[in-house]
Amino acid sequence: MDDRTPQGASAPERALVDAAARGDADARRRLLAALLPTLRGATRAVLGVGADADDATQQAAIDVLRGLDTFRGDGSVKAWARTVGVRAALRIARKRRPVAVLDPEVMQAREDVTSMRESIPGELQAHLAKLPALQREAIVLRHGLGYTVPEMATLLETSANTIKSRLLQGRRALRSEIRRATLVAQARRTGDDA
Amino acid sequence: MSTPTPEELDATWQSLQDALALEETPPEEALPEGLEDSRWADEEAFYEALATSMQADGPVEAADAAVIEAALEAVPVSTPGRGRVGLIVALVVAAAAAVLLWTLPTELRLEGQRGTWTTEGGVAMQAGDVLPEGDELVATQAACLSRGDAVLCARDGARLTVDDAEAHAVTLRAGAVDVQAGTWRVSMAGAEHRLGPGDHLAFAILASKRPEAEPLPPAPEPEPEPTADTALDDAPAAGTGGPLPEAEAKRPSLDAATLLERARTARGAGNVAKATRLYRALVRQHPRSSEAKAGRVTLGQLELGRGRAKAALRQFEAYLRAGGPLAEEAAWGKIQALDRLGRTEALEGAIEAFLTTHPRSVYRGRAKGLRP
Repeated sequence: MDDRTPQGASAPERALVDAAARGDADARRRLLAALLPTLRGATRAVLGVGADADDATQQAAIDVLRGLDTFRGDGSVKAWARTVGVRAALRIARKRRPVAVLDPEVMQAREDVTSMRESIPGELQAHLAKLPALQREAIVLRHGLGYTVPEMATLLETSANTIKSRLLQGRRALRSEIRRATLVAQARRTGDDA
Repeated sequence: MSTPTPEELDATWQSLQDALALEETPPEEALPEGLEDSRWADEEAFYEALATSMQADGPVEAADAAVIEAALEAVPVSTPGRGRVGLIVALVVAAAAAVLLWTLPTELRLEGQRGTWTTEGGVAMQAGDVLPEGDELVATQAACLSRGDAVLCARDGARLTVDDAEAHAVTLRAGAVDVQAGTWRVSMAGAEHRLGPGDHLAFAILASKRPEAEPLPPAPEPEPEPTADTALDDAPAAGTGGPLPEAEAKRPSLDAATLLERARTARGAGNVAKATRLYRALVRQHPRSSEAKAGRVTLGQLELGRGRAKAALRQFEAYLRAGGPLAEEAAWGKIQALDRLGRTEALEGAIEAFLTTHPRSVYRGRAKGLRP
């Protein structure tokens, strides 16, 4: 399926969505099969790889079918599905955050730990993991998934000022981490060259 | 015009990048063309890599067919007549839920027009703004925050963090606060104080009118590894029960509601070890209470998260024996515990029972995927 285009949904996309909305069983199945990778990518971007993202992907698939009538065709179906996936992931993040994310002891103990290791490169994951959950969430939505501050305020059901505060905190913490890593890498190279 | 120092250039770059990230008008200064700095390049590369990796689609997986089937079953195709009635009913329910959610306070909000709360990042929170949890907030002039009818006001220069909006829990780090209305849990220097209307708390000096403003009790002793004979947290939800062991009987106990509230506060603060101890104490000391009944599912999830599948299974099975509205969550937790324990035969039975009892569950696809 096409990603976001200025012209909105393509004619084949529009036709498939319309058929699925009318109840065409084959269209519903084909639509879900086409969108599942996008839903999975979105939920893993927010929750990382693991059981929580799997649950969110399942819920997002259900939400896609329930929300077919709301798709207006202004953007691509894929972009719409990505937002459905993000919403489903954020709902689960709200319910499960204290257990799934904040306690390092839990993250060590769980075999199916909610890990970003398989979805983003290791260094990115290492830097992001050091952020508090709310700041990490803001960074992922803004810089990873490209949502604007007003869109994030709607998604997260909070004020734009709260979003900005979290973004600033997160960016400054990441800046410190990235610069520290840069200095360590430089010192290591200098040591190797000596 | 003097050449800017590296520090000045860095500060300019930071303010430009942060303003762009917040979608605000960047400052007038611009960076000289062609200026390179490895620190800037590394940070820019980080965000480029983040966007590239996070906007990519996920993989196609073997479980996709099950996920699709579960979604198709959960959202059946409706006939035109019933569909319209269903839509009307859904709209009415959604409208009622929206009204209910709108009237329920969910976040701490700045009360009134007095003063301002400023975050560590320098963002000034105005009246009506939702105050972020976890960030240190500084009160300018006398500033208040409220949730519903509960109001807490701080003196000029006071610093605090919102720990748990729902529990009215904050940590005071400097200055003083006064409770105008409602009950607030204010932590200070490691001790938690429950304050009511008229109470005042200043950093490092407790000046409450209520002498019973009590700190938290010391954490309970770590749980011994459970055996078949010492399964204290397997006390039945109703019925016989028996006398608690002597050590347990001597330990002072809090009421069920207080234990549950503290367990939830600890969990909300990310202290899983403490939350687990408090939920265990709740289930052990008040086994027949409604708080303990619901707490078993949470305790089971916490035990599962800590790799203690056997302990988790005990909690889920205890809840399922008694029954309740969290049966679906408890049944799914039981399946996960049995899977971790490698109990294949029991797992198979639990999955079949789950699929029969909860045909539209969001966990359906994953439960099918765990079939031995």
